[in-house]
Amino acid sequence: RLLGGLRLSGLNRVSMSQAVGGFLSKVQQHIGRENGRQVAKLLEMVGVPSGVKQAIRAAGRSKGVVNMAKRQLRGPWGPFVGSYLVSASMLDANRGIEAAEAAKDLQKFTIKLMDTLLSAANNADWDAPRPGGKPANWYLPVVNSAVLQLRLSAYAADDEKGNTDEQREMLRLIRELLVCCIRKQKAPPKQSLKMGVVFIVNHIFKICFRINLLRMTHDLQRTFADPSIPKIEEFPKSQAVTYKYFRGRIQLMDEKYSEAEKDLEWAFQHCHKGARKNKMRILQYLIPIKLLRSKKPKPRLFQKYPFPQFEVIMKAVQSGDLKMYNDALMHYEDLFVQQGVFLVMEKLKKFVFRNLIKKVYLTNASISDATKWQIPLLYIRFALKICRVEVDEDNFDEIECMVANLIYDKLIRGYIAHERYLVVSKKIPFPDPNAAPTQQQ
Amino acid sequence: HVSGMSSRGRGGRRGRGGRRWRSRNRHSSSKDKTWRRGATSRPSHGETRVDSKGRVAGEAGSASSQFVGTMQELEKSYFRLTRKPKPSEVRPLAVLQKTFELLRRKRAEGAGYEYLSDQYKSLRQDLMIQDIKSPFTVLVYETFARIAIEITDLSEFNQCQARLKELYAEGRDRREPEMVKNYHEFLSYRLLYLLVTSRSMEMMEFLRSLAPKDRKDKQVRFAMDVMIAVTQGHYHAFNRLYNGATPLVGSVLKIILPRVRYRTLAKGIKAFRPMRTTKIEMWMRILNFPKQDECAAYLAECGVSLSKDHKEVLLNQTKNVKRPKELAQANKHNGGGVVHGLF
Repeated sequence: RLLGGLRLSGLNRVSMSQAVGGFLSKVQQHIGRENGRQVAKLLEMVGVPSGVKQAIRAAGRSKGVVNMAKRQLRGPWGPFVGSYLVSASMLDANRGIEAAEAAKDLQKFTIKLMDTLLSAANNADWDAPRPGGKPANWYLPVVNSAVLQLRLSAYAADDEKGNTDEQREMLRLIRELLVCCIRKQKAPPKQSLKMGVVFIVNHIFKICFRINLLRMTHDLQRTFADPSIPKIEEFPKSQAVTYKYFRGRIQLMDEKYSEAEKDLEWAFQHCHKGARKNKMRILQYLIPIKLLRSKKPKPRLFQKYPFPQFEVIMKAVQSGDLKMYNDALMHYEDLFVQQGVFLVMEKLKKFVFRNLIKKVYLTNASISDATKWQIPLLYIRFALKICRVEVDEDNFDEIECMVANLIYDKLIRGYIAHERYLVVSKKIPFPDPNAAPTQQQ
Repeated sequence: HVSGMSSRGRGGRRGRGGRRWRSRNRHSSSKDKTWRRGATSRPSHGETRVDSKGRVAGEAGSASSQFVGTMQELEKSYFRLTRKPKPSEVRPLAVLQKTFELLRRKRAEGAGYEYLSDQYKSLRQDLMIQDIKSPFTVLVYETFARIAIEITDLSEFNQCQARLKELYAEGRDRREPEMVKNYHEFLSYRLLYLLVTSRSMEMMEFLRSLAPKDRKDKQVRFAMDVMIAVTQGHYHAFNRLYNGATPLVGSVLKIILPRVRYRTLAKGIKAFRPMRTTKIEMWMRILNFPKQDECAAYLAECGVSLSKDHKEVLLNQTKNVKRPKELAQANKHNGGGVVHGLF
């Protein structure tokens, strides 16, 4: 009855309930030893033989596992593990909506679990070392598994329904867990639930980006303004890298480019050597920023991590080829918008123009060295026409506008003689863009 | 006499049943209750089944419990719902359609924004209460949104476009092209709204949410071109777009024009300074002033030196440039004024 009368290949009912029972006692064992990672591994079915897995999934689908868990596991662990396994089993069986329903129960029991363990920790004697030697927040890996389960069930449920309701709801529920973690606790920060803050926020970021609800990411960042929470760098590497990756992307969209560069660079440097896909993901956002700040990535980088979209734009910028640049932007527009770097890539146009003018200057200088610092606007127009770009024939207004912007941004030192020349400085007409701070519009 | 307005003063309770709405009915609804015949001061039976968006909840999912109003008066002042409304307080669809026509006429006759805003709010409320999601609903929201844009009441516009988003989605689901025919027009307004209120994060979020083919629409493309021109400081492109914009788009662009203009002034001064004098015609073009005297007045207000006949702008004599009045007024739209309303 506990296994819902489902037809199961191979094992008979008795041995199935034995399998589940055996699994649960293993879980209880690790709980007793306060080994959070092992509990999490078991829950996520890592290293669990397939027969046992099958039995658990069946028990999960029929929800019979809940009572079994309540009997075998002590205190708040019972309902927690029970609801977790139900949700995971439903998810496994592609029943997303039911997985999400069970996940909501899971969230409630997670809070209960954390409450119980937290009050025990707060009531304990902190002068004596903990028996068993494990820190008071030993169960954080389990919380992580729970939050992961919440997130994945929300995805599945919404994919079935075709909207984003469950994911929004999960955002709210996961934030409640976050609040649990930042409460006042007796344990020193590194041993307290505050060490759970980063991975929970990362899960929230993932949902936000998936459903394109980026506005709430701002107040999430304020969580770290709390001085009792350790700095990001003190958290486990993988969590810190993920956090900085997301924060960098958010700052990118907020047009805070220097902060974004810092975060993404840190993420790239500290990202695990073998995690190639993640490195590519970080670069996708880091490269545009570097380009904007005129820091060209070495060709070696593109050999290791190919990015055709950036390679062609870089070429266009370096050669001052406005047509190549415009074409590339049009070609990759969908990709750039999707990544949120569209505006950044648009901002590179001024460098293309600057390099184009520099070429005109050099060509002009090779013809007549005496008046090389007076660049006729007519020549700039010719250059644009050579690039097969449409230009106004009646006046130089558009060209003067672009030039005025370059002068204002300190990319060219000079002034405009209206409708006649761009007159550049005799000393350093084209300052190194690296040295000049980019003016924000 | 079509108007449902009873006397414009207080009182006006007639002997017959059915209530008349006073104009500017800001009194709380509890006071209204005491005027109703046989009304008690207790809230209506059972729990208040008006949800957070002002919709009257029927029995779960059943369309047969559709709320239908019976009020016949065309005009009704808006008041916030705190309890389930009675049918006599809500106008049925046929009446609402007449109300809409009335409001259109009144607008053409020059009715004030406060009156129109009030009436449209109650019109939208009645549609919401009766859960009417039809091309007519879309028409009502779009019409009022356009009025709000013209007056540059951005917060009202924002409320309307939020609801329009839902209605368009509904129209797409139900495959009713009538409901979504102005979809792209309002997408472009939304983008410009985000630009004008300096919400770069939401702007990127918004662009991301568009399907690629939406981005290729002419109106959306126009708004994107404006966005690029403003964020890159391409004042020439901005002026061109501004001068070629449709009247409604122009109303929104008028809000950022002062900002673009002031920055252009700064750039122009830097780029042309070594020239002793520059012609005012050039400044008229880059600052987008069709009339010379307006341009001269603006420059003077900003502390730029002009020749006596205002034909020459003397940059080398210009010391301190200060902000003009129009900039301060425009900046109050910057990043503010959003009220997430119901209707």
